[in-house]
Amino acid sequence: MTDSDYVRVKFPIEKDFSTAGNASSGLKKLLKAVGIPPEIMRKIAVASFEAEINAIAHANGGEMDVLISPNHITVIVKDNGPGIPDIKLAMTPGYSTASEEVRNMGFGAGMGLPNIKKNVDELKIDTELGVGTTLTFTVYLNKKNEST
Amino acid sequence: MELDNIVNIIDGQYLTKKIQNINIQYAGAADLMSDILALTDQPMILITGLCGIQVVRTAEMSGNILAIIFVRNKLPTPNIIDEAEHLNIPLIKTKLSMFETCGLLYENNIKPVPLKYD
Repeated sequence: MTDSDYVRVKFPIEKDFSTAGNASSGLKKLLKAVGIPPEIMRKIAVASFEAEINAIAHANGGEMDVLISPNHITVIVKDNGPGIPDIKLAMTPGYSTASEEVRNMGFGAGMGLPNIKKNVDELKIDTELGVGTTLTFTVYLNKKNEST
Repeated sequence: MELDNIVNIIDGQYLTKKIQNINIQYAGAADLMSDILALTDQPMILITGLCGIQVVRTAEMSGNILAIIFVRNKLPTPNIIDEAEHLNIPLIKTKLSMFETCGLLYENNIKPVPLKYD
């Protein structure tokens, strides 16, 4: 496999609820342009949108880094927010530390991380209190390639 | 069921231009976007009381929301309607409450989205 088989694109995530979803929207358009099957595209779009919302609701935005290879799509969403004190608790459906203001805008259902996990094949959460959180998730284009 | 029939049942009004041949089998109702995203494994119509730009963005990301009903006469701003038109997602408003809207559609054989539990 050569470097030309890979596509790598970065999308900024701004701390602005009115533009929340712009990075994921850009990513979805890119996936469509390179011919990713609709169901895979849907999974990546939902997971990246949730991660983007988290970076805006809990941090000052961040960056979405996307790698598209012939076998898989990996998305890395990095923020410089407060970090997650208890990942197990954060993964519990319905648990949310989102502010009232954030909830009033339709975010903070406590389903973000569970929704991401449900839609991807692999999810890694690296978090450090006071430093930030990096979510790395992967969806395989062909499940047979998962272990290669 | 054709989307037009649903609009009649709930005494609704299109906020965007009509799109022909949208057939609705399933519906889901929620006001929080992650709840909506957790519902959308099947093509469906969304019933919501939330009318910010994020509702349309959520529909775009899910790819399975065929149309959106805003309850209690809630009206999204023109830029939200424009974005929905651009994405070919019909927006409908009804004066009915979320409960009444859900009840009427259920009574008319629109099914709840099948939920998967772990």
